[in-house]
Amino acid sequence: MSGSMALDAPAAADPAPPHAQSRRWLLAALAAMLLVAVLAAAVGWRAWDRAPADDSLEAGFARDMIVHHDQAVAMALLAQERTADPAIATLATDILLTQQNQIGQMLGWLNVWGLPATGIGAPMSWMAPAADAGADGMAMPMEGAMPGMATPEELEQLRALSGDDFDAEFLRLMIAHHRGAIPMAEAALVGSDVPAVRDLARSIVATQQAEIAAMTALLEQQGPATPTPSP
Amino acid sequence: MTDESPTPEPPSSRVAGSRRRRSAQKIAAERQRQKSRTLWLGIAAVAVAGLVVAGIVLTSRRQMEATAPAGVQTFSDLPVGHTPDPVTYAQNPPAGGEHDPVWQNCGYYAEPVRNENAVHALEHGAVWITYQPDLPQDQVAALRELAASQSHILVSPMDGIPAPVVASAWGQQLQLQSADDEQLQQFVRRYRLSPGAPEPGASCSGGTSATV
Repeated sequence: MSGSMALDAPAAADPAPPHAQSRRWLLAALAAMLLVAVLAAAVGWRAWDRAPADDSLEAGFARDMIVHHDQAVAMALLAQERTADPAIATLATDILLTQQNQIGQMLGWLNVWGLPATGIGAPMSWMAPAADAGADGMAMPMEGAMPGMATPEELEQLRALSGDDFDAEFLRLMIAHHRGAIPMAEAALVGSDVPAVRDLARSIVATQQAEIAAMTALLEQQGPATPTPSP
Repeated sequence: MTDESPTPEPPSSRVAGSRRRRSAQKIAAERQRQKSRTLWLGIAAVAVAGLVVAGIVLTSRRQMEATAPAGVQTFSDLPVGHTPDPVTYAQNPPAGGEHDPVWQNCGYYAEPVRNENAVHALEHGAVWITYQPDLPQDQVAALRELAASQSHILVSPMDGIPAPVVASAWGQQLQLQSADDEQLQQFVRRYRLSPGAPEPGASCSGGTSATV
């Protein structure tokens, strides 16, 4: 500002000489800019801190994969107890420790996101947008049942087996279980941009594929009498 | 910013004209003062509102999205120790406390299970749904289906419970007149694997499937 001070009395009495007025506008503009900056920082912080919603793909994936993994842990615990084959015992320990750890990760996300571990929708409904596009009669074929899960009857039957029969049935059920987890993890990779979710989904796809190969090899060692399950 | 020209000077000799001009100036000044007061009040109001919004956005903590159903009883400071001995529980059915080293495997049971093992399942984040043995079969079937659809749900019959169906989680309990009551789903959603349990997510398999 370069205006010279008006020295005469009447002008000095004026409460709003032009130079003072423009100083006010400058102050107002600065205040407005500060306000916008604070608001932008708050909104930016929130955006950075954003957590998936209750009906998000991420929450659905975490919840369903916890249940899916929990069954793998249950079957692996049973295998540790029943098998006489050290290779299968080691595999079971590996599966159980890995998947129990991943259950903890997913439960941790839900906790940090402020979401309960139980959703409102049916299992697999987070994958429904893709399935919904299908014909009316066949809408959401996945919903309500998670792929690869052993039925209570299959688990009951497994519990009744021992020796080689147990080993073969355990491997068959676990191969099918892993094959079911992979499309779930792939759906999360396609639909989520949350780094932690993508990292875990990628890890599930890679390691469970490798374990399917290892289990298929173990099953083949068992002899030609036990056919491998169809995908 | 624009540069300002000095205020026009009234010649002091012409008194009457000067007075008229001064009163006109006074009115204009008053108008200007009011105008700038309104402006400042507006700016202040917007600033305060903005800061309040920013404050709320920045300080708000994430809350658990699921709300507990009405009528849930809460019990705090439950001990978490292990004991092989029988335990007398303060709640019926038990909603936490000392328990057996071995946990009850989750799932559906047609026969009662041992309290001390079931309480260990509660510690792992399970919801334990007990039902009176004379509960209608279709309701029992619905509970059985619920246990099969999720991990960490234990369903078992129990004599002498205070309602046809009682849902318990660690430190939380809800009495229900029917298994179809939607409050049961609400309870499961709120408390299954909730951080309120001492060890949520620990396995509900690999323990015992024994009944009593």
